[in-house]
Amino acid sequence: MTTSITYDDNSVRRFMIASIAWGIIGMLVGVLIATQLSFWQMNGHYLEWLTGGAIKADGISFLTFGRLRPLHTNAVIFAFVGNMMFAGIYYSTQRLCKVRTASDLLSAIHFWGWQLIIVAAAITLPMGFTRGKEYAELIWPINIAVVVIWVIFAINFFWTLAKRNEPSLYVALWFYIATIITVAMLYIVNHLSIPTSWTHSYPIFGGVQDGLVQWWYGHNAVAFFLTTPILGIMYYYLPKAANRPVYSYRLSIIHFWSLVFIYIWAGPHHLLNTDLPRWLQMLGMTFSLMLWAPSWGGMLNGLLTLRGAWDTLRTDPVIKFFAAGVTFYGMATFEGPLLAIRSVNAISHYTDWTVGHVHSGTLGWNGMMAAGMFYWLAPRLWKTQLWSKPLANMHFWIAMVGILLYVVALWCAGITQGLMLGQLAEGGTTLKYEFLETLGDIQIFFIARSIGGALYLAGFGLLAFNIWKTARSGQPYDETVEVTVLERKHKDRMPWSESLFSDPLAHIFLAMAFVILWFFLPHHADKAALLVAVLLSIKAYYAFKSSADQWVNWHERMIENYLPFTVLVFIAVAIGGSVQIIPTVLVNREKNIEGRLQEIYTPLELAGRDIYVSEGCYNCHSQMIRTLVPDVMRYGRAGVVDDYSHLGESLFDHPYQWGSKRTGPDLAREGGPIAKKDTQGTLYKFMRVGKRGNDWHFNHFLNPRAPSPGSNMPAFPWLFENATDVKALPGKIATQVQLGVPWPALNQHEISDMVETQAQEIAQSLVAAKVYLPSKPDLQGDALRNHLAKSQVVAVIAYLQKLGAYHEVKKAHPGQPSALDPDTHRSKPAAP
Amino acid sequence: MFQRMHVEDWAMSLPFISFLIFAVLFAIVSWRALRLSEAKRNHLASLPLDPTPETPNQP
Repeated sequence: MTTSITYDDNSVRRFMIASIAWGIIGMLVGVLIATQLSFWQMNGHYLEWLTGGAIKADGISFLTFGRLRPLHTNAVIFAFVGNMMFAGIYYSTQRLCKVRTASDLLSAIHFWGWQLIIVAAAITLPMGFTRGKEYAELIWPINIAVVVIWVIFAINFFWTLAKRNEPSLYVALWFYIATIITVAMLYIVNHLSIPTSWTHSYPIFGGVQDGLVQWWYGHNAVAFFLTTPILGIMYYYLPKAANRPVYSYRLSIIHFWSLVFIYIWAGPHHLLNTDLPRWLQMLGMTFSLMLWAPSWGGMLNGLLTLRGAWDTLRTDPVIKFFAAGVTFYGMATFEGPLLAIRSVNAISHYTDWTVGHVHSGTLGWNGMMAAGMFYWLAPRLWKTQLWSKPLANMHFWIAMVGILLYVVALWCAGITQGLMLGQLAEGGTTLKYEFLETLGDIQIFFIARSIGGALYLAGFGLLAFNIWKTARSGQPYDETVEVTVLERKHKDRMPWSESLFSDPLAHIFLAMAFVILWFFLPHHADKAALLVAVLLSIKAYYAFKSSADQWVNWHERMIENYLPFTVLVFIAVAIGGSVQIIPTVLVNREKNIEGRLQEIYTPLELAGRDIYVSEGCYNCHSQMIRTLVPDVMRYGRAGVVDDYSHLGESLFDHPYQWGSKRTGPDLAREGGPIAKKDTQGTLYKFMRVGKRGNDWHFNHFLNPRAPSPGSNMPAFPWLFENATDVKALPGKIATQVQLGVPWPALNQHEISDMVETQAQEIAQSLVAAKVYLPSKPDLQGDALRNHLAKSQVVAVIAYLQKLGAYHEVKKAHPGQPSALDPDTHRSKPAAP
Repeated sequence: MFQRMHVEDWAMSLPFISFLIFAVLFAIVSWRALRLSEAKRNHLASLPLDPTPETPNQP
């Protein structure tokens, strides 16, 4: 029986238009923040010129790098690539399943819900409402909205698969399934938080645990949001554009499974040479290196699909964009594992090399694939011809020049700065360059990068114009086709029991379980487990010999049954995540710490920390002295042994603030001990003084270039005007106690008193140092002290002067192995 | 880092387990992918290209 089906192409058009619009906005913000690294005036001071002096400010809060950089990353990832992905998935899934999307209502809710989320992000991020974790900055109410909309998308997608009229699931659909399942898992785990208000929350993870979960998420956001769905799009649209099947379907299967099995493990490579346990660093590095093979297999599969069609590269802009996109996929996935090698990472990490790498992926892979897909889709969605091929070709070349300028500039900047930061002066006992000297030397590359980004944006503007003219030349068109209706009994025939407990799977999982037990069980029992594992393997072999057909059918039916397939993908990625996260959940506790243990913040320091997070300082400053000689020499204290950042030093930090980029220096040891006495000989109760005095920080926030000539940090004049939110502190501290931070019992009056005392101590020291507040020149003496004591700048100074504070924990009797400790049988008896 | 990590050795075994899981499952799916029949491969590979109705209701 055949039937006529009209595809829902309206949703595809909407997502495509949204992607282009948000893409331009996201890239525009990207260009703006790129210029901020060269010209501090771009942090809001330029409005003084534009308005002829009507707006006067050295910096404007919602236009600073720290607040706009999260807006840029969220806009290009979730708004630009997200909408592009949805457009590509909605179009191709309907065709591959030969059915209209299951629910128009769910499609509409998905579209408008996603756009509302983006608008909410665009409002809240510049206001400083953030969770302080990269690509996971959105506040908790928006997080819930993202999960709800994602689930609606998933329901619509899987419902469409259930209604399909094609029994087999094409490999593009596999990539979409992996995307939906894995992103949901990553997003939920990394956004687990306890709210303290409608706009603020603390993540449930802290310290190294938070860092690990963050980069498990952050890395796999790249893998499963920016890569796997676009690979699905490549496997559908590239054969369509070239009008020939994919070069090797077998290779595409291996490509898929190897990415699913490997990618999820590689997150720890973002924390190399830090105090992350070494085995996790090695895990991340090893699995990253393994990614070379499937990534290049996928790239070659894509490029070889063009075999015999290379001549169209000259004339067809779609093929041109796809070929460039796939090539950039290969280049970026070659560079990624390279940067995951610990010794290379020692130079590249915290520099612009990483930023260049990311942009070769996003501009080259995501951007070029998006452009190719849009140019291919537009004529079909409006039933017309592409308005201008020459304009599309011009877009291609402008974008290509822009990417190359951008990426090469940041390679040069990153490698230059990485090498300079580690260079020793003559004699070999001191470092040769100050941090600001290295920043000055790479300015030319920063400017080249801004030009490259602007060129890429200009190219995308041409795309928007071309697509708009194309749409105007045609009419919205929803394709109608005749399809053979697939009877229910001919699809998804594999029962759950067979899919999960069939002979092949049962043997494999049982054997693996016993191999794992081999590692964990005590003496002799481990050998028994190994023996059982071997016997199961032998049994599996004979089971295969006796019923080979069943095994073959099981696998081939599996790829025609979407629910069991989905469950298996989930198991694969969940194992990868659990193996990394669960052990660190167990060990990252205060009772396990021996050596340095972080001092608890005072209430004012906690308030200062929240402001630090809110301003996005982590976008430019790390708090992690790596276990590398140049790091310890530059940021450690003279004469202190092993002065890299120890794991216990950030144990209570929710969220962790190790950072991923040093546009400014590391701040892990910025603080110091409680100051001795003031000028009247009074002992200080809370006030600390670290590397620099309070007045230095005061002047630095007012005008960074006064104490640090050549600095590109924005000024923060609003910190001197805005009052610290003291009322919120009791609730925040109560939440931290819930999270396991060992705060002493404090009532709200005690908290207020502590805040007042510490703030007055710091404010008094500032007045004594004769600081000057340009916005309030009349304030002096006690009036100035009382004004400053309430201001945010004093809270932030209190926090900065606390950084690096710890006490030593010595344990007379080391902890005994627990019952589940697999090393029990290896441990020597404890000394009496 | 910790001066002493009581369960460090325990954790050290996890990369080996991960390798094992990966190697076993990947070997299986790769082997199955390589053994996929040519007819099935061709059918799957042509899915994006084939707009004509097929005859899917076969047992």
